[in-house]
Amino acid sequence: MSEDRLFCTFRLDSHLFGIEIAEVQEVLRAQEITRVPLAAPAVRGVINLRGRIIPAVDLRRCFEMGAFPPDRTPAHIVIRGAGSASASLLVDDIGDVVDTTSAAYAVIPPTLRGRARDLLLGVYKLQGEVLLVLAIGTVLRAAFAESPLPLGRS
Amino acid sequence: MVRAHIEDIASVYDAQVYRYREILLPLVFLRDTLEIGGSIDDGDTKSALHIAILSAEGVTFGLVVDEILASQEIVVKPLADSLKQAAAFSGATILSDGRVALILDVPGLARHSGVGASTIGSHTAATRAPIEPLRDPAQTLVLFRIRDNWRVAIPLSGVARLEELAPSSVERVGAQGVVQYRGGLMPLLPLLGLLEPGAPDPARAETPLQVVVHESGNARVGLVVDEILELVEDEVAVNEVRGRPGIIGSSVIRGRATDLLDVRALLAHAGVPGFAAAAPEGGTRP
Repeated sequence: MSEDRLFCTFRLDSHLFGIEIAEVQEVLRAQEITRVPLAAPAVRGVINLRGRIIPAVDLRRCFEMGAFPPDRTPAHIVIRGAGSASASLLVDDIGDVVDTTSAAYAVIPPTLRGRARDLLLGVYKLQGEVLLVLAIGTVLRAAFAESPLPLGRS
Repeated sequence: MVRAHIEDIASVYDAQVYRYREILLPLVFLRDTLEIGGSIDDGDTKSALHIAILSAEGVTFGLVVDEILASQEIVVKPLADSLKQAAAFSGATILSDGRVALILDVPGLARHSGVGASTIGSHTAATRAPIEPLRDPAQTLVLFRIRDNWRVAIPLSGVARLEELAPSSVERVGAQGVVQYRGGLMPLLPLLGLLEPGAPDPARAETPLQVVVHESGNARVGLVVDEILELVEDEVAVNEVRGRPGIIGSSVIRGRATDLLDVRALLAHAGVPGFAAAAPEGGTRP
């Protein structure tokens, strides 16, 4: 883990996730998403971030959690890219910024299997809860690389 | 853009085509290409289809969409590399209400939809039907290409008809190329030669001539262009006035710099018989 112990937290389903603050450019409430046909399944569409068009990645889809509840609009965590925003992650709810300095860090338990294993760096044991630390680079690569349909492949 | 009645749609094996100005235009159904699924949610789809007639890489085809909204000048923004692999979109733009609109990659669509090499341009059909009158001719421009990449537009009010003429139909009266047309002789003038006197008239022995017929009173002239691109129905802002006779100014149309022509002034300046400078009212200002 890096020196930075501050995490931007969010909820997906019942889980608490965290992204290192340094990776986060900003956090947004509901945004209008324009669907992009033929994009990778985890790419929900694109949003207009003050004139820049960035992809919106459905994190529930990345973790195979099923669709967002229909009565809730997802929040956005905009991830810093090289020089500019690279993507927005769709999450259920934004949480607090959590200081993990006094929390115990653990690697992913070997019993955790499936996709989630590749998409997490480790876990922090907070009081009464576990913070899952997102491997943001891997998440984005996987989201974008996941077999987008080349046009006219049939 | 046309609204096609269902009786003008024909099937060639499993491909659907639209009978358009004497030719059969292959149809690409955007819902199928983009795998959106479902069917067009429109009460009158049983009787009509909305078709945008597109041209890319020498191929003309009809793109069937749910609804045609408006034409609009836009600023093209790049799409993230992570979205480019789908190859269906060349970029995006931000609409006035802040929403994002995707820009279709028309050449990509044409290639991947298997729209063949058959094109309007390669057809030897002698004559095109006249343009259907549109609601507001003052705002409708006919877009042409002359030379390699010079785009010019003429207000529809300055265009009597668009014709495609076989090169063999061109005869000569003195040095002037003419064509027998509607019971008379119509002089053919290369538009490039009018705009740039002395410009060489490229030899087009093989391909049909694309001709814009302009009429004024009893006088009639055929302006030869390289390609008739499309009709643009739009509010056009002339952003720069050029000090050249016959050119009202230039503007950005369909994302490309385009010169707006005043045909009447151009012909008067060139001293074309029958198009004197003191032309009657009803000019071609947009």
